[in-house]
Amino acid sequence: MIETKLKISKYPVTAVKGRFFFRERLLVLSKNISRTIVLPDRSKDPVIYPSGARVKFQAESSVIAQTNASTGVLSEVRFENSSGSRTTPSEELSSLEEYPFCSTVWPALIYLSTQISHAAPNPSWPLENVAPLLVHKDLFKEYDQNEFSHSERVLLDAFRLGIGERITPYTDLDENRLRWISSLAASANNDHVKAVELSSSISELENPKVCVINARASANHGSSLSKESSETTSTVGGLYRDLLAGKDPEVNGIYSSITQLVSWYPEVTQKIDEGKTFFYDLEAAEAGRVEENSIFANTGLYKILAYTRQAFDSEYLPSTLLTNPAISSAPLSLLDNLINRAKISEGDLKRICAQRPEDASYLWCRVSPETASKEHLIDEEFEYEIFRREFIKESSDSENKIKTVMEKLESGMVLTEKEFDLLPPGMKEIAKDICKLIVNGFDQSLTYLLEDETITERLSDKLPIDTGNADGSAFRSDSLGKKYLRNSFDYLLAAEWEEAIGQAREVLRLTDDESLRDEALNFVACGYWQIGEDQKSIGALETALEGEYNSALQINLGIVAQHLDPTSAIDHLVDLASEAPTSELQFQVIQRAFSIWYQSEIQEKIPKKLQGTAHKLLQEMYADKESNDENVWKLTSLLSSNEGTLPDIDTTDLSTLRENMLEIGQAQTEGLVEYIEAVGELRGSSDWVSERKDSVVSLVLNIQQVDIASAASGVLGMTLLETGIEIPVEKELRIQCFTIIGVCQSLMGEDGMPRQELIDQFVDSVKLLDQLEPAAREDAKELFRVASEELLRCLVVGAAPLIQQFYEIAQQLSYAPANRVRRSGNVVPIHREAKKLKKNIYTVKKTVKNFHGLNNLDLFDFSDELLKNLETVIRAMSRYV
Amino acid sequence: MTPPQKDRRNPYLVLGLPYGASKKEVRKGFAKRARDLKKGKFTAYRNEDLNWALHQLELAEKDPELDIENFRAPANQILFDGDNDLGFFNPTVQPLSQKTSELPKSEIQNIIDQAVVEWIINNFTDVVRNLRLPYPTPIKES
Repeated sequence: MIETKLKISKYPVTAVKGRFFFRERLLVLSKNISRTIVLPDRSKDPVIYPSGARVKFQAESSVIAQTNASTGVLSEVRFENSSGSRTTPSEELSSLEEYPFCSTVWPALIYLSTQISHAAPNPSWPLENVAPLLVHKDLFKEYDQNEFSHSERVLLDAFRLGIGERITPYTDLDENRLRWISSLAASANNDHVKAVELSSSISELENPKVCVINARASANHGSSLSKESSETTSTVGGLYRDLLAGKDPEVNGIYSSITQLVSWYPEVTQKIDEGKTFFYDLEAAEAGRVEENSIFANTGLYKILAYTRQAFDSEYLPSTLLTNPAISSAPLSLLDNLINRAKISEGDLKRICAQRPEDASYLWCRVSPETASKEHLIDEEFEYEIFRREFIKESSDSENKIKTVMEKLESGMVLTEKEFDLLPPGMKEIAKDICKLIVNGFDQSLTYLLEDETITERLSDKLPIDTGNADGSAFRSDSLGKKYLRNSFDYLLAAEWEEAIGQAREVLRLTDDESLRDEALNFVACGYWQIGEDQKSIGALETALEGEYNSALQINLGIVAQHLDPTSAIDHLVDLASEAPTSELQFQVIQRAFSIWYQSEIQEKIPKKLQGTAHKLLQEMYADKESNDENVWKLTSLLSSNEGTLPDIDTTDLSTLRENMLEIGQAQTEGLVEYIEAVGELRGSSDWVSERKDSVVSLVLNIQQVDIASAASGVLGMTLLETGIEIPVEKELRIQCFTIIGVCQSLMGEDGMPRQELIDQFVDSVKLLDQLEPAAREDAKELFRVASEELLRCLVVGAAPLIQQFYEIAQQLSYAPANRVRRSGNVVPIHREAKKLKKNIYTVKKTVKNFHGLNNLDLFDFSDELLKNLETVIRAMSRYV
Repeated sequence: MTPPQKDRRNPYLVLGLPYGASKKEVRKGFAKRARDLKKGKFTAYRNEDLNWALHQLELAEKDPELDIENFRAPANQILFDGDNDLGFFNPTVQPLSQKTSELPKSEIQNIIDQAVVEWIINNFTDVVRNLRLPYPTPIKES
């Protein structure tokens, strides 16, 4: 059991100030952190001591308050006099925990209550002296808070202590307010009989909160205590009582009073209006507005109603809604609404029909007529579906009268009245009009028939296609236009180009529908293109593109334009690009124009018009964050590789990727080496960066394979290897070999020596060779052999004159004093160089020998001779280092 | 039937197919055209044209960039979708006509009102039962 810790607080009430002859007795009226108000003995004038005043009081009597240490809730109060005897202030006082004292002078009131009840009250502070001060307006004006003035609060506490009536004469509250305060105090003390009696004369219409007093009384003593009459009860009171009694409240009462009711309790307002929508939704409900997100939407039929009123994302209704019992009581028109909006599927039908068996036939015929049972169709007298099923029935039954009638009509024969009767309502009227068309020909009243392609298809010979309407206007029909469009396409597929063009032209004559006309123009263009009439073809496509832009038509125009002379083709495409609505489409056209220019070799420089449009497009694409990054790069690369310059691009706010693209593009304009270096500097692991690195590796490898012996092969290879781009082992080995071959070939004849980096790479490539799978190693060996022999040859050829020089120097040194030469230090670098050279020749030769054996004896002999000479030189020079 | 100029051949048209035909349709188109050629029903193209067309479409499938060289006919496929047009002579499934009329405003208001009442009962009864007197709280000295 958890023991409640209690806290005892002592509030001095009477006290003594000073000592001996200067003693003065005081009544403490109020004490807070800023000041203490006291009333001296037998005085009517209070004295105010501000905080910090150097006054010492000695308590004579006090109020002892017992509170819960953890919650601070007051549970008991007692008065303790100077002799230490304690008295309980009032028997009436109750529910202090729930309704604690609310005034600031409550300890003084307790003192007063004990004195009043006392047979011989203390004459020092008579009621007439103290009471006016306790309810003094100016003295305590800061305590007028939250609907209750200070004096009202004092009275509330006083009534709780049973001395309210003694204090009342000193206040200026009106009768009604006094009754309200006193009844409130009685109710707080759980004296409901008294509370109801006191509040009985208060009109609920004037003070609706009275209903709470009555409701509390009813809750504690039954309804006998409360006196309700329609004249005196308010709607808020009625709502309150209904809710308290668990009765269904009047909806009008809710709309008019719930706001008022919850306003009495700010904490309740906060709780129910957490989502800030309660009052809004209530207002909407009162106004008859159905809101999908209303807090009431989860209740009863409201949700179904909401689904019928609002657009909702899900294609079908949630299954929980369909199993909701409310679905059985929902008005049928609500379900019809959902059916009309295709929110109820065939799969839902079983569930709904189980809840509404009486509507099963109707719902089935409404939602899924093709799966409705025959009984359902008969129940609903659904003649159309009965007719349709009969019509589509697969049978050779010549007795199928419906089929016979339809075939008769289809072949242009008129029906008899009896035959008309076989058709369901709606279709019968159409059949009669078709017969009218057959007999009398077309007139304006039959225009609606032209919307039905199955009619125009079958009865086109009855329509005034060539002659026009009776009033002289041209005959128009979209459905007939569509039929001609199909004919045109059939001719295209049959490679009958002129006929295709002819049928497509009929479409243009018959319809104003833009999509049909555009397609007809496309077919005209296709036909003309096939027979070599490119200008006519382009004309048709350009006309089609004047309206709504269509990327397929644009591509077609590009294809046809390719067959013009390149200059005209590029001109057409550039014009097309300027008109294209999106940068994506513009890019496609520009790309095609570049391809024509590139293939045609009409001129070295990009045509100005194409260049200008491409530059403008590139600037727009960089400025537009939404444009496709891949296309931005493609155009950047297209321009930088073909043109050598890029337009000025505003780099403000460019993404890192776009910045990289621009940087690489610019490097590309400067040259291949710069491009490779720039790619090598790219950081990050984005797809684009990886692609660039892969592509630069492939580029170098391709160039090297095409032109093995060129200096470019060596330079590009060296540049690439120096960037440190990660390259798959097999490719890296190939690049290294090609680089060695390229560099060595370019040095041949110039007696140049390969740089140390190349030798180091060679050593690396030996390691790479070892990393390869056996099969791949076998494949790579031949290339490696060529590269290593090439390197050895280049090395020894380049080294021979140098070794000769070293040899001569060594001979000359033999004439000089060794000490002096050593001191000069001049021989050290030569000696070091000779050692390095020896090591390089030895390493390369050994590798060649290890991998390929002694195939090239001349080269090996020459290498051995050089090594011997070098050995001699090194030995001779070692005396001087 | 006029054969198109050599470099204007369109692989789809050669195989008698609309632009964008599927792989399966391409194979079927090829077979049908080959049969028609053999029977002499179709003379605009030769077998080598058919082989070329099939090869082109196979290549374009592997490398979509090649597709940009194919004339689009039709350009707007939607116009040719649903070739079986529905109408009087090809009656489609139609739902039964609606027999109910629009829900009157008063009924809508009733549904809303019921929901409000139900919501208030569900969410408010306990709140009201626990309500205190509209009694002032003690003053907190600042």
